[in-house]
Amino acid sequence: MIECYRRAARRCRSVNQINALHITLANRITPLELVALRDAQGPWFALRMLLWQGRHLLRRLWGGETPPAELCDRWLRKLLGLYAQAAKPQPETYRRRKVSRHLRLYSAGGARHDKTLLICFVGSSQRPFLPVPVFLQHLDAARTDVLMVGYPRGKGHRHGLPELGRTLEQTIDRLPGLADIGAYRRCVALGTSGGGTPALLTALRLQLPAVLSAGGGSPTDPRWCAALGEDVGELARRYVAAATHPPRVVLAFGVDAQKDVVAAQAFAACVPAELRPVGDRRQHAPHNLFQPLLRRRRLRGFLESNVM
Amino acid sequence: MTDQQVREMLVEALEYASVIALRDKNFGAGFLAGTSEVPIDALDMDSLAEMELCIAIEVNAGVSIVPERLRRIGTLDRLVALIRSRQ
Repeated sequence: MIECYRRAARRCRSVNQINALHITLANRITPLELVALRDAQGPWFALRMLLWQGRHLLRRLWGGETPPAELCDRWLRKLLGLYAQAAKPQPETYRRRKVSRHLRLYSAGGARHDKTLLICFVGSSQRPFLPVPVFLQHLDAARTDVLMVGYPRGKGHRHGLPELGRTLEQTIDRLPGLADIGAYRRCVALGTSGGGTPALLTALRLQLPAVLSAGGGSPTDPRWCAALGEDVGELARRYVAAATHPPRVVLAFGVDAQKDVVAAQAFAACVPAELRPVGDRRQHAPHNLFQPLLRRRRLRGFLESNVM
Repeated sequence: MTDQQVREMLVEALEYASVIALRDKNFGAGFLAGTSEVPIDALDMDSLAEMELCIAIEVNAGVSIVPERLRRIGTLDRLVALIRSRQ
């Protein structure tokens, strides 16, 4: 992976090409790969970081753009800074396996009968609010596998995954077989931003024990209603009525994201749910509510208490 | 690319980057019609969205604009003019 990255970075001819490479990597790599990338930088990495900070300050004072070569160090430094917020001495031992074009399974291997499978519907930029290695480092690889559910470019989750079916419902129905949900002790769902609504619908339809929607959309979103052919709230109500064991539904939102507050309240009017506001007068909490939790080192506890 | 094609490309790129202000503040229709000025700051883009927009501009229009420069351009109309002048 490291050699592949170096080769790809060398081929980049512009800042945007390097940024695209880094976004793709941050959406895929595991904590182990991130640490390997850091270790491959050699003993001069810390010194380069100090020099970079000095040059960055000068550029901010006198203007000018960051040269492409420096962006690699800068990206890695930022990513490692977020990763360190998990405050764990060792990287979580997840390994990545591609299940289908838009599905990736992160697992440390071993017996699944005493593990939880977290089905994670990603939001904007194909990530669960945070770079994937940072998010995974806040979980326990010995107890949790993660099925990361992406979406086709420009289409969102509304029409499901083309490789699994032509509608969201068909996609949901094929997930248990593909992910072998029955082999796990427990299976729960998480959705961030645009992934909130599909996570809720998946948990309700499959009767999973718990679901957390973080900064999810509104049940009256016209794009969703057009794609499903009916109101999302009505569909959710129907699923709840048909369920013998409806899931524990937690709707989390940043208190400063007014649109998310309204959306969570609207969903809570459709299905039995717990509203979980994040942030207060001292702590700004925007749409990306994992960021303030990460900074305060509360993300792990938040996930443990609300979905795991 | 024509002026209209650049505008459509930018709207699509902003939607892909999940810049929800475009829809919430009803900027899209006025910008596409060329009847309203949209300040880039008003789009409330985070750094990731800025990167996604710059990548889309480079891929679709072949014009390289870096995220650090994007905000200094001021408005989407000026961004359209800049892309067209560099093609």
